[in-house]
Amino acid sequence: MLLSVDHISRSDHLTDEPLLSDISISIAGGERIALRGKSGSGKSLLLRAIALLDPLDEGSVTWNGETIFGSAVPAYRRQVVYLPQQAVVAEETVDEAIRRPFLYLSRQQHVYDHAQTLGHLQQLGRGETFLKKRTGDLSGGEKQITALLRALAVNPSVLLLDEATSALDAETARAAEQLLQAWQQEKADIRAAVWVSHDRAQSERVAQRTIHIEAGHIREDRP
Amino acid sequence: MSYHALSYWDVAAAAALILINGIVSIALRLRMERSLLLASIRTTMQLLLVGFVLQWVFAVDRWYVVIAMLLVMTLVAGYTAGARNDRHFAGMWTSTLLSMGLSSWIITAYALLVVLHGIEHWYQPQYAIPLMGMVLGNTLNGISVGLSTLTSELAQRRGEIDTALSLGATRYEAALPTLRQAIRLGMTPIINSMMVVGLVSLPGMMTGQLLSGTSPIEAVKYQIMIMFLIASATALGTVGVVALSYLHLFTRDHQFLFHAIGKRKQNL
Repeated sequence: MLLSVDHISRSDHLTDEPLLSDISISIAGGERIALRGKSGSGKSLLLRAIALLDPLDEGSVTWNGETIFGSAVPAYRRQVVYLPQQAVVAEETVDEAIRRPFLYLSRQQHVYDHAQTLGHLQQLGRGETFLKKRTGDLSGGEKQITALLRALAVNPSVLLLDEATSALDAETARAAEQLLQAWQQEKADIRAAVWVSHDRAQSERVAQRTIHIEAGHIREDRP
Repeated sequence: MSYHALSYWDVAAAAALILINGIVSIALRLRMERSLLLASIRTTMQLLLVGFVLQWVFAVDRWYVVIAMLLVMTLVAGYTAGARNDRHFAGMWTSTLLSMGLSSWIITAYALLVVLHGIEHWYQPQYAIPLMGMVLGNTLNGISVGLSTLTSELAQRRGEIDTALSLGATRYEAALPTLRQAIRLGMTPIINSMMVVGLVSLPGMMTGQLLSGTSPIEAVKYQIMIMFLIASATALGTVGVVALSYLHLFTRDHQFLFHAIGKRKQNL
């Protein structure tokens, strides 16, 4: 098993209202999972919890058999990358934004593969000039493209995609889906993706397993 | 040079000047008469009270009385620094009081034991209390600017910080730009005032020494000492409060506790 989430729970620290209740999920290499549920059901919180971005009240996250906490967390997040809907890029050029993660300690021994990024860019129908744009001038969709290119550049094992293509036009969104599928098939045994998408058709296209979330519980987990 | 002591009648003659404010308020219908009266009474009472307390502390001249006095001053300064911030988080008061206390006590101790090593004894209230007062007053500014910059910037940059964390940054790497900015802004006012001191206005302590008959060069030497004490205490205090707040707002699991930063109701 690549990644497993065991009995995680989290409640709002102000109201004590449960946000995630006793959730367990195992993710194997090659899996493509769609996380579905109404707005506010806890889909984003679950993705954030898998990336260990918020403190959990209970439960643990295990990566390749090891429970992840403390100083192991940054290296774990190098493998399991969370992409938010609102892609945030600091004011710089797209090229700088994509290279930024390579300045972090946990990635310093990794080399940025520029040719790979150029290939991805082409598959998304954008030219090299896109890299010279200032991130402040980007549209919402272009920001998502930047975030996606950056996430792929850091060579992760698991992508947690939180409406990560929601601002893209239909054509680019399809291209992004294909790009992500190709990325996964390259090393199917160690790569997986979890999608949160309000677009039902997209969920059906990209996933072979669907998990339904309702009020912070798993209601259904089926292939 | 001689020193002219004021009688209470002399003070009353100065206090009579408040009538000018009163006339302005009445003539222009500013409705400030009540506040003016209250402010005048408070100025007089508070300072007289402090005067009597200090008179007593100076007369008693015991180390534990001086320490107790310094302790009260530190607590008031720490409270003021925290209260100026309109956001709060669990651990804010500890961070503020601790950084305020450590920075000002270390620097004042250095001043009393090293810089002023020739004085009769280290706790001589004539030196210990005004030095601590000036160090605290200025450190308070650095701490409160540093703290409010830190909390408001962190709240604003949540997306940026979470993005950095989710791409494998450590909590320190994710927070560093914000920490730097908070420390820089906290230290800016003292650097600015070091740039213009003596040119724009004479500092209060130096003015006081001149009035009491000290020669200008002696007064200036004290002022130079004070400026460096203040600058170093501000640096220590600002770095301290920013570092301690950072430890409260970022977990060991490299998570940013955005929701721990609450907005306080403005009651001013």
